[in-house]
Amino acid sequence: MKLSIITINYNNINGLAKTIDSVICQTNRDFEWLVIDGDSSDGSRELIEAHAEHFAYWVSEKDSGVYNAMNKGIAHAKGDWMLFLNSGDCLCAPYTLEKAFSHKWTGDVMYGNAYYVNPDGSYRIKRDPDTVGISFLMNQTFCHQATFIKSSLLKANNYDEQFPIAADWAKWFQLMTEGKRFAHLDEFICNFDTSGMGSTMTDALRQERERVMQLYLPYHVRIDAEHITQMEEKWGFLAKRRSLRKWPERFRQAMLRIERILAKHEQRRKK
Amino acid sequence: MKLSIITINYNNLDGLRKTVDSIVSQSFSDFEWIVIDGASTDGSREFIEQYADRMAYHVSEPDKGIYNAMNKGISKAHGEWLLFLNSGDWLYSKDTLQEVFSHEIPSADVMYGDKMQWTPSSCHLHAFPDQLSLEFLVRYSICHQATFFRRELFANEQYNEQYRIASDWAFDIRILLQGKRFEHLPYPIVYYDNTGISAQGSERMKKERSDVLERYIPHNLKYDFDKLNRLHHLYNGRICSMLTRFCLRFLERLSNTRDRINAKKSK
Repeated sequence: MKLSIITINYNNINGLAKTIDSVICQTNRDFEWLVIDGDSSDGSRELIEAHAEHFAYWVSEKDSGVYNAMNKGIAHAKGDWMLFLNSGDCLCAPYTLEKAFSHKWTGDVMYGNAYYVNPDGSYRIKRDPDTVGISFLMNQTFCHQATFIKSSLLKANNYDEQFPIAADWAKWFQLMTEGKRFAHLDEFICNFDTSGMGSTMTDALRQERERVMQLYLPYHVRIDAEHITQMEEKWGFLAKRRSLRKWPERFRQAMLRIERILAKHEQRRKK
Repeated sequence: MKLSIITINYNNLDGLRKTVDSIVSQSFSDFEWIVIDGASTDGSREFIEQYADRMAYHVSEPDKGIYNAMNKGISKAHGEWLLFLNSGDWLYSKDTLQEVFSHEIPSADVMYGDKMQWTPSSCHLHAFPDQLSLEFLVRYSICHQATFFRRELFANEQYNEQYRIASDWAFDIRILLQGKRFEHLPYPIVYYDNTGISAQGSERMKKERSDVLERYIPHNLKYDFDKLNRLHHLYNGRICSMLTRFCLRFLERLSNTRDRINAKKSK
């Protein structure tokens, strides 16, 4: 089996209904689906039971946090790759998986694009660059819900439950310093619900991120990444604007032209 | 025991003399000294025998290369720190070790100092940055002979004997990626003999380096290096160099015209 989709839910019946709708109508069926519910009391359990035939595995019991629930899902997953699609997030379209599978999956982690949908219906596009390094991860992160991860990597090392919000981020650092390949899957995978956890920067999250970096990012690699960030702040404006990106080359061309004109003048004078 | 100095030697009696002199004359005394000789035939063996009472361990037998000899030395060492001082390199002054271990940095796993680059014709200080970054290590590397390693680092790792020149560098990269701390000692530690094996940029060196990079540098970090390179090169380097070149040409042209005018006047 190619893919295991793991959905975790806690007291979010409306979101779960959306997620279920978007997954069961997929045109490509080469996946299994696991639902881990944290003993919800809002009727989610009944909803899951009603759709039980779609799930390879489901459970509804108390857990100690989001990543604890995900680790439970990882233990029961059988696919080669994993996708964590939490309740409230849904796949963009019925043909999303079909399109995603039609690409060549070259990395150990394939990060896709996502729409960040606000509760009022407005959205913004999240599309990461084709090549990412530590300096990208320091300032931003992938959309966890649009990222396919090789399940062997997750089975070997579960999410670190001491980080209740940023465990996915810690995972990226860990995999990257181990030398795993991150490659871009240039396809829109999911509509990410921004009202959920971890989408706003709070002090608690900032502290947690600092702890993650201390634990998972080698000290001297961090110096590099900070240096790159500084340089980008200084010179990044040249790289961002398309018109400015060619500026150094144009400057050279202009000087060559001036040179040629001067040379002509000189020749004329000699004559 | 604070320190173990490991000296390896192979048919380099002159170099060994300098090394031995500098070690014997140290004012610091809390160290042991291990000499691994690769069955030299130029009299090194007899020379080592003379100083045998000063050494904690010495052996002279054929080995499979530099890093094999070093690994042998590591297995015999008991000090808290290790220093690899090969024959041909010697300590900067007789108080060097005293200075290092009176200001020992407790948080460091590795302490790297500066080196004096020595060739028969010249000698100059080669200093390293205070904050080591992976990019610097990959591009320039630090001086192995001026670097103190904690012995625990070698508990489950060894120098890779597959390479002949680049193993120390590969080891640095490996432990850096494990999150170990490198701290700088901002003064010269050794005179480094610049005519040694790894000092010459040979074809083999290049091949081994690219091999190590391929093997030990995480794939996605290469994108970081590319990015840094681009930022440095394109925006700092190229613009500045173009401007200076342009100014120089302009000045040259000015002087040319002035010459011409002078020539006309003289006519």
